[in-house]
Amino acid sequence: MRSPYSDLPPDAYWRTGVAARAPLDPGEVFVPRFAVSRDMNVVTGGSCFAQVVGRALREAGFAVIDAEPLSEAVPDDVARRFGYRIFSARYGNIYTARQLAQLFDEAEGAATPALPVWRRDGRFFDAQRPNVEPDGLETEADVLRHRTAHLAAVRSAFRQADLFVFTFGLTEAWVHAATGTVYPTAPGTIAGDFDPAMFVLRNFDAIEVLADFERFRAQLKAVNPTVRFLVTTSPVPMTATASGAHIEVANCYSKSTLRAVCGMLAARHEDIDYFPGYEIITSQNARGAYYGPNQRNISPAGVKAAMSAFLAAHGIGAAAPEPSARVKRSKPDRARLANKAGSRRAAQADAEVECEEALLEAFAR
Amino acid sequence: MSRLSVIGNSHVGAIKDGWETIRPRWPGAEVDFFALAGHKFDFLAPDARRVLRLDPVSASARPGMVASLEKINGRTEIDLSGAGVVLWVGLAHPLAAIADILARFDIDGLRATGVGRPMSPAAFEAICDALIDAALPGPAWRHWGAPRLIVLPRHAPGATWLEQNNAKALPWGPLAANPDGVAAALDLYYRRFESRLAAIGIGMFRQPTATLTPCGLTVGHFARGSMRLKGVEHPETEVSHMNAEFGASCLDAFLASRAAAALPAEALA
Repeated sequence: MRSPYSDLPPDAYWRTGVAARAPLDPGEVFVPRFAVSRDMNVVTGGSCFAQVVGRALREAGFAVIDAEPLSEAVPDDVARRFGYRIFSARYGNIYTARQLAQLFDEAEGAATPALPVWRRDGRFFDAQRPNVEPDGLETEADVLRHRTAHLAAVRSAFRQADLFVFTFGLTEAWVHAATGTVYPTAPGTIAGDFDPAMFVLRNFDAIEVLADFERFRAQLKAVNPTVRFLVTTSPVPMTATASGAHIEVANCYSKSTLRAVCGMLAARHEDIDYFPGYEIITSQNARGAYYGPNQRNISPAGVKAAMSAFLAAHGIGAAAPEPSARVKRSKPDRARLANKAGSRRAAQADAEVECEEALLEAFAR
Repeated sequence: MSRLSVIGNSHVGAIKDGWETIRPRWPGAEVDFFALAGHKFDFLAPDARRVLRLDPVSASARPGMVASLEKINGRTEIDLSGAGVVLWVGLAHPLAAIADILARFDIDGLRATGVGRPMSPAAFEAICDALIDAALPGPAWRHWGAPRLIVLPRHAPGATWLEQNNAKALPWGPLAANPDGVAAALDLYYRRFESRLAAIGIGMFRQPTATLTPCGLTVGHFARGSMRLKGVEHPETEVSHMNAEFGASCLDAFLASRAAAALPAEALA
């Protein structure tokens, strides 16, 4: 008797593909659709986990675009506190596909978000990236001037990308009811005031997320026809949900939706590849070892496992072929000298991820 | 009688040469010098009794440094405990990195050139602080009480740099082309430097304003005819080291300032 399941390779079966695998062996879960190489101009964006992806690509020697660069002399922790060196421009975390599409439209002059400036304690914040200036700016005009410069950088980065790497993070977002403008954080979390008559929660479904990303893809390709995409789903669980569901239920809906959209995108577009970092981190084979004590943060071992699998699948070593200028900045010999205080901040910064969503935890106490 | 001890790297040379020209104006002052060129000075450290020297391990591992100390100073250590004030000349600090930021960014409220890349004052101040912290003297230099330790940070390079085809001078080009706000931004930087030194018990004395160009470089003629510690003149293209006239300007201003207040009144007469 013949069966379509009778002659499949071992990784097609759970027993041989997962259960029999050594613990923490990620297996060969990723077969790239197209090659990526270090000479491609890479743009990164997305949720908290996208920061990790971007950093790993940089450390592996990829040409990750930095359209708002800071002097190499500035330590990473200071740069990252102000939104530098996190993504390809200082847009902060882009949690939803709607926010990504909206950012592109704004950068291309096709849209103007409502209520672009929020206030807190007499200071002014960019509502679309409230975390890049932790103390805000002095005037509303300053915020708008900074945003104009930022959008020019976004436009430049997106237009020169060979590979656009995006990590889907959330389905829930707060939206300006009258205009549909979406925000990365809830009003009142970092700045602004929450007015339930003005802002509403949207929990996007798969059809909406798919449409948002496909719209973004089509518009980006209109100005950058050769760009290709690498999409991932963040394995970092939600910090909080305003959906009314239990956080685990809400998180499962969100991740399932985003994972489904990634699959749909890869199935529908030859220029989109999906990297299963989500599967590597959340695999039963990993036995939860890739999460920190709070069951949310991804451990360094998890990041290494995921990114090693990505690089290995592309035949690329984990280390950059030559130390980058940023690595060369380190001067351990100088730090040993009697007259120098030395600094270990750069190393500390490597372990940190800037995550507005984590602020929600503070509000939960 | 309390004295002023001037210590540091090769930049002590200009101060020493300058002192010889202004000495008659300060008949009560007793000034001595102790220097070691370049980063070699960073291997010297004061012990608990304020004796500045190479630690025994470094001294045995680096006989060349001991020989240099002897050749330049005629001694291999200096006892600073009897000084009223110790002036540490030439401490390296991140002026080049600050110039690079000012060349690339407009700082809100400080400098507006239309470069198209704004930076908040908070970010600029945080960057200044982080860069300064990495340049601060180590624990052996902190919280002395007596003698009073004052740093004269390494001066800005000579403005003649702008005429040379030197990649390191590139950040200064835009500042020279449009110096608006540069003085204010550098003043903010130096004030934060002074504040962070004060927090570890060290004073700061800045290069006199009269020696600076509007873009923050040292006036070009101060770089002409500068001498090495060992008495040989630097090449004509030298922009890092300054001459005796510059040293005299700095030391004159220092002795006339409140920074020298720990010296006895007769020394400042």
